[in-house]
Parts: sequence; C-alpha cells; structure tokens
Amino acid sequence: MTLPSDDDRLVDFLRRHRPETPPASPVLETQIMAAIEAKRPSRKRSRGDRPPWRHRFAVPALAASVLLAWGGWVTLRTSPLPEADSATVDDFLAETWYGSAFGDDSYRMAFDATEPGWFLSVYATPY
Amino acid sequence: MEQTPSSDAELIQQCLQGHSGAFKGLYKRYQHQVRATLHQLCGADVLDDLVQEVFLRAWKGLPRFRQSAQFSTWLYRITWNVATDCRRQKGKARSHRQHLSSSEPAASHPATLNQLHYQDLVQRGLQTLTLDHRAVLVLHDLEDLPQQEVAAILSIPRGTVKSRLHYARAAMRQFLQREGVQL
Repeated sequence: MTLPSDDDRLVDFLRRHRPETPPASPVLETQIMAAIEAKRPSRKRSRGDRPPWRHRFAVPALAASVLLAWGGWVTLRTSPLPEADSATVDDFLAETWYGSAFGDDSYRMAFDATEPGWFLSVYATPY
Repeated sequence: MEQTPSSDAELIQQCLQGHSGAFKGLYKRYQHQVRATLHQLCGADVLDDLVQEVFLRAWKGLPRFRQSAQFSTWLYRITWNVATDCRRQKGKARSHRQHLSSSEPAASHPATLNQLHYQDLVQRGLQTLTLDHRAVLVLHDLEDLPQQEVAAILSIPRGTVKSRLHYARAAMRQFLQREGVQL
C-alpha cells in the first residue's frame, strides 16, 4: 500500500514515538491462569447443563401450556340447555306473548306509577 | 523437551479439551499486542485488570469461537469491547491525562528527554481523538493491521475505516503541529 508522503511521515513519527507500554505485574499471568482454571470452557457439555432455559424447561412449559389451554376450553365452553329447560322457556315466551297481544289481564301486571320506585318493581317482579 | 504447538488452531483445540496450559501459550503469544492496544486506547490506568478481562472473556468465549475466523482478529475484537466498556465506566477521562504524563517518565527503558517528550505528545494526541478514531489509528497505524482486519474487529465497513483514519490522522497532525512538531 502506498501512503501519501504526509501520512507516511506521520505514521513513521507515531511508530517511533509510541508510548511504551508499562510492564505487566509479575503475578498477572499467574492470576489469569488461576482465574481460567476456575472457569473451564467445555465443548463436551452434559445434557443437563446444555442450554439451561431453552431445553430443560421447554418440554414442561409446552405440556403446561397445552394443559392450561385444554382446561380453559373445558371450563369456558357453553353447555347446551337440557331438553326440559328449553321447553319451559318456550312455554313461558308463548304465554307472555299471548298475554301482551290479546289483552289477557291474567298475564298483565298492574303498576301504580304514583308510588315511588314503581319503575324498579317492573324488573323486580317475577313473571 | 515439550514441543509447543505452532498454530493457534491447535492451541484452541487443546483448550477446548480442557488443557488450560494451552491457553498459556495463546496468552504468551498475544499478550503484548493486547496490552499495547489497551494502553493506547485506555491508558495505563488499570491496564493489568483490562488485560486480565480480555483473556478471561476469550477463555470463556472459546467454545463459541468459529474456527474459520482468525484468532487474533477475534481477540482484538474482545480487546475493543473491553476498551469501550472501560471508557463507558470511566465516563470522565480528564484526570487520566495527568496520570499518564506523570507515569510515562517511569518507563523501564532508558530514553532521552526528547524521546520522552515525543512519547508524551503522541499519548496526549491520542487522547484528544474520539475513541472510534483512536481505535482505527492505533490498530492500523500502530499495530499495523490491514484495513480489512480493522473493519472486522470494529464491525464497520472498510470505507468507514478509511474515512476515520483520514480524520484521525488529520487531527493528530494538527495536534502535533500545534505542539511545535515539524513532520
């Protein structure tokens, strides 16, 4: 590589006068070797300490998710009305409708609008 | 007499098999470069600690080291990471200058007064650069690494290396001229 002469001279100056690196502590090498002895890297890792989070807990987490999803579905799904209940509801609707349509008083409810809270009684009265 | 494995790859293989003695070989081979680079980037302060940090990270990271890559490039990359972490932690580097100027004359090798003065100038000039510019100047001009390798170490495009080198040299040249140095 050819440098422009200005750069050439600068680099030469920097190299000739680069600050001297202070000598290392005499115990530095020993310290480093002792530290790495305590932390050995190992390529042949046992199954148990491979990727701890990703693999060790992946299967139980997946199983738990499936179980939760199934449990939720079972709990929240709407159960169909029993046969007897739906018949009762049909009868009730028919009677109420007939009562309203044909003026049968037995199906009507009397309310005294002068009494306080009469409006609430509409909702409180059982049909 | 025990024969020293010649290549980095062999030493790394031995390290991965649990032979920490092989790592000592790598340490001896590269500690001067690592030390010098850290000194230029971070100064003499806590230099031993930084060197130790670099080699500890290298040791821990060896299982993830891709054999296709060059070990020296990888190690320089760790050195750069340690240097940037150091700068971040320090935050302020102003007091550092005083420390350096007082510590440089204590260098073990005898040198003329002129030489010490120029060394001090170079050191102070480096301190005036941003860490990014200084890193490129140190790795390329002082450590004599090719631009391609500097780009790989710093994870930047080669064009960025070129432009940073241009600005770093210009700033350094200006600093030296202000200090009365005729290049």
